[in-house]
Amino acid sequence: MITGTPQGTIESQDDIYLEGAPYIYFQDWSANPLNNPDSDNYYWGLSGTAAYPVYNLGCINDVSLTEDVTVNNIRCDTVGDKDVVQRRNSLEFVFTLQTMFPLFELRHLLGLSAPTIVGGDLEKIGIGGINNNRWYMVYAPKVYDDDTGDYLLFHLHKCKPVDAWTIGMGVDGWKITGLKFRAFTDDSKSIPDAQKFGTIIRADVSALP
Amino acid sequence: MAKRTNLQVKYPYLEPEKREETAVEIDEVIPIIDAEEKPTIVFREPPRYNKAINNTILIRSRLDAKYKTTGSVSGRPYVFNGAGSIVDVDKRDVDEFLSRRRRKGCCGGSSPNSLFELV
Repeated sequence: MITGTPQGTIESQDDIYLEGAPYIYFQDWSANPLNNPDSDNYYWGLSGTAAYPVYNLGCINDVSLTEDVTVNNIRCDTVGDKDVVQRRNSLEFVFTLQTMFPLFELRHLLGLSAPTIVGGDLEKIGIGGINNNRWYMVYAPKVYDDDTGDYLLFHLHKCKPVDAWTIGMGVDGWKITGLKFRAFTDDSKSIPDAQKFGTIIRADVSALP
Repeated sequence: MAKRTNLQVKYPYLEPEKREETAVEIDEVIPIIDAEEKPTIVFREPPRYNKAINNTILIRSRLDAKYKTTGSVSGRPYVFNGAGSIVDVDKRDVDEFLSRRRRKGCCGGSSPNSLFELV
């Protein structure tokens, strides 16, 4: 059959398709990643401690990971564009959250004050200024084959919730929209430049060569 | 003593012979209220959190919030100042502290969600 296949070495993509959002975990940036680094010098994973617990976001939807890139054309008046230079500025994890509680977890996303819980009955929290000196590691694993445990995960080293949030109070359920974790470069933990924003790990015994 | 004095004024002591002469029928006993008696003002003492006590065990909070609570056995008030803070807890309260859990955790959490741990 004639398919127009090029000659020589060809790397084709895997016939694997993902659906559904990953879980999203985050932890105070003051903690170190679980693998700090691993045997291959990759920094990734979270390990919760009493002082730095790992938070698991509840019901999320409309999840996407995007990036902010500055693109400058090398444009010559003589021949037009000869090239383009790009700079990755940041990455952004965007999602909608339908879980409101507990407030002491939500406060990290909404920029609320330190909470007080009284007698296991009351949870009190203030809406004040935004603390700009808190960053988080964000970890989003997606198991795409439950039988074999194949997974893909994203680890972002230094993130901060940014942008204005909106709490939609509709009859179809409350939703917090406008939530974004912006990932910055982390040059403080001996992380190599090639991983300065984050790391992607995939585990797939049956598919990886 | 004040009430006793009032009773004596209203019903002075009489010799047995005179009692019969002055005896009257009393339909009902009316309580005598001292006009000078005032309601007592009770000052409730504010709880003294983390009061130094004997027979304690160190407990660490895993809850990322200031947590004010009372020991269910001893009734002592405790306050934990955020995740990782350590407080001396009465031995009698320790089991109950260690059994406290997040009651409605959701979504893929694999940890037992206990709120406290032994140091």
